[in-house]
Amino acid sequence: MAVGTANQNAAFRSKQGSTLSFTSEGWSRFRHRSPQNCMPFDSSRLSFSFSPEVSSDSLRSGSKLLVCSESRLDLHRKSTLRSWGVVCLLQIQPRLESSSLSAIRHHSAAAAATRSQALFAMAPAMGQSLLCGAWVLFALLSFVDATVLFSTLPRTLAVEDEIQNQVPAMGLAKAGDDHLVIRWVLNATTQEPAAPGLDASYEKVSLKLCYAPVSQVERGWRKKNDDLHKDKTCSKAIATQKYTSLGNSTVWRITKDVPGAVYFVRAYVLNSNGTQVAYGQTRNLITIEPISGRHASIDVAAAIFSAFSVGSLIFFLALENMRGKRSSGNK
Amino acid sequence: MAANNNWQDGNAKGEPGSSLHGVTGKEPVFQMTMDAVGEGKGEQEATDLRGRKFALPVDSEHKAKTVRLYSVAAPHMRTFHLSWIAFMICFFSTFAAPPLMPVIRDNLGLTKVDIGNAGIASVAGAVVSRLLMGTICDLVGPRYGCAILMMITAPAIFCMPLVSTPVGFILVRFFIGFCLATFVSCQFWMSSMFNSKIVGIANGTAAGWGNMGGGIVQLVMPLVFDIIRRDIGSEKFTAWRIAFFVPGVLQVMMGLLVLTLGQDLPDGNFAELKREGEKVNDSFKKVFLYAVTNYRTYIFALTYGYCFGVELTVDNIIAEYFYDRFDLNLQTAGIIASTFGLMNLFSRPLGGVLSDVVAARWGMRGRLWNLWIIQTVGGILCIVLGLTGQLGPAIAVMLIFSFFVQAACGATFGVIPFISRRSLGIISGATGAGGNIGAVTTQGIFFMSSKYSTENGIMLMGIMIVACTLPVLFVYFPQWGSMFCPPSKATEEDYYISEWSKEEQSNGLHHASLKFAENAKSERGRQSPPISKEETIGVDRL
Repeated sequence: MAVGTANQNAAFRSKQGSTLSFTSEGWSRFRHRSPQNCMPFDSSRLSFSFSPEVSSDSLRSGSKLLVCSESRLDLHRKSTLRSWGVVCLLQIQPRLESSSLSAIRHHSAAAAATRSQALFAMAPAMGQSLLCGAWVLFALLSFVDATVLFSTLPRTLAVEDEIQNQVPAMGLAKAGDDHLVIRWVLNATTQEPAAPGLDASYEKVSLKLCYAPVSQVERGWRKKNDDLHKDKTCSKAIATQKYTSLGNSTVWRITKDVPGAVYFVRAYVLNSNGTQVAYGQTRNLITIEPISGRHASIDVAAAIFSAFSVGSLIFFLALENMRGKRSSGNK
Repeated sequence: MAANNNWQDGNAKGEPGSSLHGVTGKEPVFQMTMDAVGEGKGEQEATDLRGRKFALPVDSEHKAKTVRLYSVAAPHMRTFHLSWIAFMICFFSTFAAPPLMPVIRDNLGLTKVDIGNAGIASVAGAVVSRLLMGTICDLVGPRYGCAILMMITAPAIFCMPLVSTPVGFILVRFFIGFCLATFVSCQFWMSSMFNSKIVGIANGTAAGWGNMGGGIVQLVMPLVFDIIRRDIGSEKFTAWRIAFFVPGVLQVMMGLLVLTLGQDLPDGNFAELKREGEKVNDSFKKVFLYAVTNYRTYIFALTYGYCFGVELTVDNIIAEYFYDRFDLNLQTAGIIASTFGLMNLFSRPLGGVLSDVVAARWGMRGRLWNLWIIQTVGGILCIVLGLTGQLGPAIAVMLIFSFFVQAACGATFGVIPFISRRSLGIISGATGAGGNIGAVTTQGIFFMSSKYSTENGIMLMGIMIVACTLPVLFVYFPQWGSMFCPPSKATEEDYYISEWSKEEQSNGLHHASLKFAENAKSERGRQSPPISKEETIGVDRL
């Protein structure tokens, strides 16, 4: 499995934290790489992790091969980009042992130094082809997430929200005026006490405002999709906070560009790669009233312009009529 | 009357007033064109009202014999530019909402059905207004017709910043859509100003460049929206409302320019000419009757519905399609969507030119084949567009598809002038209305509900284009034949004179049709020998 690049080796990572790697040997070859050849890539933009244990685990637990041939412009409105060309993703969905995850990062650091030297030596060969060069550009600009299916995420957070200062709770908020108070915490009841490392990979919590199903009817641009890359349910980001097992809360002023709809709040737990590993969501729904966008000044301007349009038309018609009468009167 | 003899007499030898007067448009038949107007009385060289020479070479009716695109000389080229720009701005206003739809649908809480209804409403209004515009141009002239329409519709554009419900949105788009009737005034005006030999190219270019407005708006509106949002700092839901002032102000300005700078006919304005001479009007009932009893009217209205109607539909849906399917941002989707309309710069004129080139060799049969082939290929490309899932190929297919669809529009109007001489105005208006009906139907069937995804809708629309172009196979002209059948022994005179009753013929009202029939012999193609020296001008110029 490979997309070749000249000067780098990047590892695709699946949402579960295991790696998919591509080597510098050629973009058209698809091979499963043995763990020793998986290359970690140290970059703030492309954060990957690498786990030999996980890779071998994954072979046992089964893997899914996805071939994507999609390409997207880099004027994408989401932050993820996909590189041009045919990329084969080896999607691995193991049930991770929580203990292995902390070991993963240690391995990657050690392996980085030795392997990078070996592979960088191969770089000049790849740099020859112009096509590879173009793909370097795109590969550098892009990082690829393996698809995460929402149905595979465990619901380990408990999230609550309420509209600030609203008593009795009506569930109706005004965009631009009201504030939402959102509290989230690791749900102690569902987690067995014997799994203390469950949240070891939890790095950040991303809070999003999501459309309730009633607001998704007849609106294909808000459609739900199990593939989180294609899912459009949660398009409004509220906040991103660091994960702590004690939980946290945030107060968010509902921005003025929120459309009028029924919402709930969902919290995605992200690991250090930024992929979703768990979630939680509120059980109650809030209705948000949007701003109208109209202002008195716009109304007045519209009236003035319309009056000008009709008025000047009548004026000119009358003028020409008078001129005509005058000239025929002169005859 | 001496004046009467001036143009009815003569046999196309170039005497004043004896040329192909009233051949192509629905312009009124003036009995006294040369004599009665100002200083031009009785002069042999072509001067305008004030005795100045025309900037362009003109024929005996003072219609220009060439088109000089870089000139704005009054009256011909000024008219050309005023009229195509006015039409373009009307297209701009009608399709100003679709590129901003992702913002508008959030502000107003629109569903797919609402958006579909609004799209239909935007093109439905023009069905009626295009039919009426022909009559209005007859009565008060194209200048007033165009300016009045634009300035009356401008308040509807200014109402768009005020809408806050889906119903309001649909209504406002309906009323804005009326201004698409400037197409008729544009074509009418071109026919009054340009000689019949080049009126096809002039009309096709003006119509094509006007249709470009649908492309330019997809580019401009997202940019204006972005500027307002970033630089003025408005909220999204306010910025789109402010952006709508741009088409409104443009339309008012253009209406004023048309009123002040425009001129109905090469010799002056309608009102003056009406006062000077007698205006001969045809009977509306008769003209209407001959239009509705000619089956070709319906066939071409249907086929035009599936080239121009498809163009209107795509203008309405394409930006949203690229935004949603390929996950682009508003500006990028707008840029890509605009290329569809911008192809009109050359594709519609080329369609007309191609029709003329084919007719020089094969006559009317060639024109019909040309139209059928271009439109069917366009339909096939539409099917391919719906099936294309990658961005790059989708853009490429869309560009080629736009060329064929717009060339088909140009090719249709290469055939329309020959369907009828008497009822040309109504038939043109009916064809234009058919275009809009096609847009209404297509959007209603394929793009309204969530039954079909947009890409499936596009694919099915392509199948419908191919199916609805088949009636062209059945168009038969007795004097020229059809796509598969050769001509009969009938002549052009028989065909065109048959529109006038015996009474009317005895009154000599059919002479213009006779002249047109002589000219139309060029539609036999190269194998027909020229009837006389004068008529060879037609074939050579093609």
